[in-house]
Amino acid sequence: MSRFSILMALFILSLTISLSLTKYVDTSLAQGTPVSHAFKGSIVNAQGRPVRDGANMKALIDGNAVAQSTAQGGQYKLIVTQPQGVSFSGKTVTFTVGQYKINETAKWQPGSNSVLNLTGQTQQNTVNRARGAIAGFIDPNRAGSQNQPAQAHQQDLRALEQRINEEKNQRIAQVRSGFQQVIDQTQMDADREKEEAKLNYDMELRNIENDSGQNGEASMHQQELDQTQRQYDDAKQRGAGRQHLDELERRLIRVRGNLERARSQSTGDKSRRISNAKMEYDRRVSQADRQLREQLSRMKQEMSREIGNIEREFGQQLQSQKEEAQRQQSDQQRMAREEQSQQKRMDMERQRDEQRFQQEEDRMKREMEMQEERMNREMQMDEQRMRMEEDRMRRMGQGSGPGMGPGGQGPDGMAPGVPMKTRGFLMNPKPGSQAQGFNAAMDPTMLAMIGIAITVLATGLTLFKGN
Amino acid sequence: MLHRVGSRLIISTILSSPFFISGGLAFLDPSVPILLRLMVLAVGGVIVALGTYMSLSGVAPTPNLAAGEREIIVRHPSMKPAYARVMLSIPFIIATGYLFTFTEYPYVYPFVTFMIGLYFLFKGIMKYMRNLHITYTITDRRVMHMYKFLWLHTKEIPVARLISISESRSFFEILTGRGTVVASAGIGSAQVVKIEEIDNVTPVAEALREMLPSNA
Repeated sequence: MSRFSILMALFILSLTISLSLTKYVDTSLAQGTPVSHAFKGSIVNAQGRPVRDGANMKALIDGNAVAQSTAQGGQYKLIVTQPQGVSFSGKTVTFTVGQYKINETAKWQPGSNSVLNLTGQTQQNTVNRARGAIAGFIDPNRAGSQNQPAQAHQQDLRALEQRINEEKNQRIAQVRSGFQQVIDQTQMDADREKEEAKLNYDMELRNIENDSGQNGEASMHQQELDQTQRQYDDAKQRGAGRQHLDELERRLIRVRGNLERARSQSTGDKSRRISNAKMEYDRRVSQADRQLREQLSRMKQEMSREIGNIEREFGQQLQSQKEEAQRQQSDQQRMAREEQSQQKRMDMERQRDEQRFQQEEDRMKREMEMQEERMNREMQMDEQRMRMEEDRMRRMGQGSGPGMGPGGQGPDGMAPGVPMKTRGFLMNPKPGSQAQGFNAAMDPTMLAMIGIAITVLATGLTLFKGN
Repeated sequence: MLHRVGSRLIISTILSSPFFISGGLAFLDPSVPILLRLMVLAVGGVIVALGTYMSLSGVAPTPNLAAGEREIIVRHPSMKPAYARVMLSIPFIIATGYLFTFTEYPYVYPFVTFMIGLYFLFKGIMKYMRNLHITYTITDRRVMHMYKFLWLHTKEIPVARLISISESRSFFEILTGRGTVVASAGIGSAQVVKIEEIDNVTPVAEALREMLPSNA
């Protein structure tokens, strides 16, 4: 393979890698980053104090939680990501921390990073006032009694429980009152429905009675019977033929039959209509009663559920408040214990300092006493030496000998007075004691001779060396 | 000649004077042991004796040149490095006196400063005496170091065998503006001639470099 072919292969390889990298970059850019808007900044309560660590934070759009996190060190960070198929663009983002709303809002913008410092609102109701008083969120001064005794703390708890119960009862009474109004209205509607059914029923009965009194077919048959009867009577008085009379009698019999049939038919229709009206009336009444019962049952269930929710909500609030209060109390107790231990430690340190100071004072006093004693001794020795010197001089002036007794003792038999050594070679002896061993052996004379000998020898040898 | 001898005597007297003074004062104080007094005075006496000997008989040696040999440079060591050592010993001696007299520190502290000061003092004195008897000679054939005190000692290396020329400066040479030229003909002290504590080092080094054998 020639150099040119190798070069071409490398060129083609590099071109391929470049193209593939370019395609990869285009693809990655086309995919884009997740559409989100990040918020961060400080979070403080209504009094301007940073909220406690771990406080639950939420971001909401249209009342729905879209992101949540926890505050740490008075700082927060929330990333609101837009899900597939939903558009957050231009919508207002609101925030909450725990049970509290935040004053500030923001517009959601895709791909933005916003620094937004948040301030909490205070909710002026009984529960939150009590909660704030305990947790120090709303009125820290009222909650600042960290040295409050446990009894007062219990009283506060009882007062809190009482307030929450009062509010709960008030809410339940409101709910009951509202439901009672609805029940009364429903009852009135049912009564109205039944009265209306009764009126309709009565009207139907009257109509039936009227209809029964105005039966056309029976009247017609009655008129035909009367007319036929008159024709028969006339024919009989005129002495009409037998055939004609028989014809009229047959007509009378037929008309009477028709009349009877019409009358019986009319009576059946009336009874049937009355029965139908009665059934309709009963049906409407029973329907109204059934609807009333169902509505009452449903409302009672709703009321029970509502009351249960209220009781549960207030129970949770009470529980959380109690836990918060207990936590606060435990914190206070812990701080009190720490303060006590700190106080105890300081007392112990002060006692140790006092003892050390006392010991130092005693030591200095002892040293001063020893120093004074040493000075007195040195003065006595100096006086003694001067006295001996004077004696020696006096004896020399008198032409006598050295005058020293045997063993180096003076004329009075006293020791010549060896001065007390106050300095050693490596360390000084303790006050009132003598240097011993190596420290005592190395006196200035010895050291001077050693120094001179060593240095003279070390340097003098160079005089005799050739190079 | 007379001036040279007189100056050497004066210098020897100055250098020995501290020992004579301290020894004499020690004789006035009966608490100082007699051995120490005698030792101090003996040191002073040795210094004066050596100074007198060198003043009268101490002469820098001169080499004997061979027939046709040409002398290029002759140098003697400078005395300023020796004086610098003596001057440097003074603060240590003063510190020794202070620590011994005005403090209650253990004796090891004044002893250390005493040793350092005394070392510099004697080193300077010995260097002064030694330098009086040293001659460095460079000819077109040899590089010589001659020292004659009680006996003569010479060391020489032929310039034809020189392999390197270097310059160096010790602390005291730097203080006094002097230097050393090291001419080397091989490995080992016998193959090295150090032309120490001379002033104006560069011409000596250049002269030696010019005599280095060529590789061509």
